[in-house]
Amino acid sequence: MSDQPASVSSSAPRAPESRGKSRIRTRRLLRIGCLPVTLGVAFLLIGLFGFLFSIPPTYVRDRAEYQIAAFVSVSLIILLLLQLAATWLVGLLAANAGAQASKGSGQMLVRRLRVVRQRLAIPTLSVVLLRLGVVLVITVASVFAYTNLLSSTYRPEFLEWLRRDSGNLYFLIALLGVALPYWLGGPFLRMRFSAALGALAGSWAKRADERTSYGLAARLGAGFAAVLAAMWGGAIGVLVVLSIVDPISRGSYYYSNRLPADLPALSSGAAAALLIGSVVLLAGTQVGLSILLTSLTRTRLQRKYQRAQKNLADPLPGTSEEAASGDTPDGVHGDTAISASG
Amino acid sequence: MHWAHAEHPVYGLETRRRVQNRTLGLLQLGCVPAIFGTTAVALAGIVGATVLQQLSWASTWYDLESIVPLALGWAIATMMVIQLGAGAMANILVVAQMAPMISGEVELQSWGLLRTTTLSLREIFFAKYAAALTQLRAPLLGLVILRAASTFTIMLFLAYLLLRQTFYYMSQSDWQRFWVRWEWLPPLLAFVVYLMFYVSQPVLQLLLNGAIGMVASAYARTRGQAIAAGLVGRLAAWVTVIITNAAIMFFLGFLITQWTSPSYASLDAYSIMATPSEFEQTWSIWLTITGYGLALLLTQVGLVIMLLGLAMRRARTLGA
Repeated sequence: MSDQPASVSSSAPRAPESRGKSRIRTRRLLRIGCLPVTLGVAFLLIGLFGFLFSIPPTYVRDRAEYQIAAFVSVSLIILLLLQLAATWLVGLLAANAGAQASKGSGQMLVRRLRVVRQRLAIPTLSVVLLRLGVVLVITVASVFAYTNLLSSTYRPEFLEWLRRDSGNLYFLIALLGVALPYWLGGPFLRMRFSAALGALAGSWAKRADERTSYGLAARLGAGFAAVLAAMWGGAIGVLVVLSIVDPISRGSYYYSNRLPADLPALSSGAAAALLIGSVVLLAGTQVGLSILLTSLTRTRLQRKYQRAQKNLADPLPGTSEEAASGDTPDGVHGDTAISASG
Repeated sequence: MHWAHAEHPVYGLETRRRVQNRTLGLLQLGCVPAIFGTTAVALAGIVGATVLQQLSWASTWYDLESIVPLALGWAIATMMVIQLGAGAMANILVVAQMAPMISGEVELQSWGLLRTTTLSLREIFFAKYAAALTQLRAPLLGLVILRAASTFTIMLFLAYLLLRQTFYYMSQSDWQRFWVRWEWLPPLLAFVVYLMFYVSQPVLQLLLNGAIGMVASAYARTRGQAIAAGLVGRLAAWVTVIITNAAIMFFLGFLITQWTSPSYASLDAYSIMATPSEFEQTWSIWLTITGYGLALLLTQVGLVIMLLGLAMRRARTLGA
C-alpha cells in the first residue's frame, strides 16, 4: 500500500512566503486602486454637494446663473480640499517609505529611493489629476465669464480681476508658463522631498519598528515647522517694519498717516517677477533639499555600517544588538528587501 | 544617579519589561508624530482662515497690522488646547506606569525578596521611578517641543502688545518715568518667573504625576488598586489645585482692590489708610504677581519631594 500523502489541514498556518506574497499583492492593488478611488470620491462629492447647492432660493431671478455659480464654487472647493488632503497623505506615505528604505550601508540608498518614488507615482498622479481638475473648473468658469453662453451674467471676482488686468501680460505669461507647471508637477517634487526626509529620519532608528515613527515625525515636524516659520516670520516682519516706520503715535488719532493710505498695486512686471521668484524658490528648495538629505542619509548609513562591522569583528558586551539591528552588509539582509517588500 | 543606568539590576529589569509591552511601545512611537500632525493641521487651518479673512477686507497697512494679534492669539489658544489634551493623556499614562511599581511587587510577594538584596531601599525606589519615567521620554519630547513653540508665540504676542499698544502711545514723560523710576523692573521680574513656570511645566508635571503614582503604589496592596488610587489622586489634585488657585487669586485681588481704593474699601483696616501712590501700586501689584508665580513653582517642586518622601517612607514599612 502506498503511503497516502498527508492532507494539509485547512487550519494549518500559512508559510511566511505566501503571507509575504499576499501582502505584496494587496499593496499593489491599493496603489493601483487609489487613482480610480480618488477620482470616484471627487466625482461623488461634487455630484452630491453640487446637487444640494444647485437648488436656488425663491428670491433668485436668474436660476441658470445661480446654478452655474454654485456648481463651479462647490467643485472648486471640493477639489481644492481633496487635493490638499491627498498631497498631505502622499507626503506621509513617501516619508514612511523613505524611512523603511534607510538601512544597510547606504550604497543602495539612491536605488531604494528611486523604487519608492516609482511605487508612489500612481498615488501622486491622483493628486495631479485633482489639481488638473481645479484648473479645468477655473477654465470652465472663465468660459462662462468671457462669453455669453446661456445668456448668463456669471461674473466671479477672480475673473473680473483677470479681465480687468488682461493687459497684465507678463503676469499672465508667468502664471501659465511657470506657476501652472509647478501647480501640476509640484506633488512629485514634494513626494521626492518627503521620501528623502523620511530616509534621513529613519537612519536614526535603532530598530526596524522605529523607522515608521521617525519618518512620520520628521515629515509632520517639517510641516509644523513650516507653519510656525510662516506665522512667526510674518509677525516679526510686520512688527519690525511698523516699529521702524511708525514707532510712536504722533497724535490722538490711531492712524498717523506715516504709511500709504492704501495698499499699493503691483505693476505687471513686478507681479510676474514675484510669482516666478516664489515658484523658483519653492521648487529649488524642494529639489536642493532632496539631494542634500539623500547625501546626508548615505553618509550616516555608511558610518553606522562601519561601526556595526567594527562591533561584529570585535564584539563587546551589549554591542551585538547594534550589529543585529539591521546594519548588515548590502546584499545580505537589507537590500534584498527591495524586491521582497510590497 | 547611578541607579538610572541600564546596568543597575532594578532599572535594567524595569526598562526591559516595558520595552516588551506592545501598547506602550506603540504609544511611544506614535505620540510625537500625533502631536506634530495635530498641531500643524490645527494651526494651518485656524491661522490660515484668520489671515485670509483679515486679508479679504484689508485695504491699508494698518488693517494688515491687525492680522498679527489675531493670528497669534488664535495660535496660542489652539496650542494651549492641544497641550491640555496631550498633557492630560500623558498624566494618565505616567500614573498608570508608576502605580504598579511597588504594588506589583507586593502583590506578587517579591517585595520582601527584593528588600533582602544588597540594594538599599533608596536605590530600588529611585531606580523604579527613573525606569518608568525613562519610558515616557517620547511623550515628554513632544510636549516640550509644543511648549517651546507656544512659549515663543506668546512672547511674540507680548512683544506686539508692548510695541504697538503700550509703547506706541507713551508720551515723553511716560518714557522718562518708565526708565528713570525703574517701572520696567517689576513686570520684567514677573515675566521671568512666569516664563520659568510655564516652560518647566512638562517636566514638573511628569515628576509630580510620577510621585503621585509612587504614593499610590506604596499604599495599595494590588496593582489594580494602585492604578485606581493613583488616577483618583491625580484627579483630586487637579480639582484641588484649581479651587485653591481660584480662591487665592480672588482673595489677593480683593485685598489689592481694598488697598488701592481705600475710600471704597469695605474693610475698616483699609478704609483708614491713605491712597497709595502710583509708584507704590505698580511695584506692589507686580511683586504680588511675581511672588504668587514663584510660590506656585516652589510648591510644585516641594510637592514632588514631599510625595516621593512619603512613598519611600511607606515602602520602608512594607514587608517589615
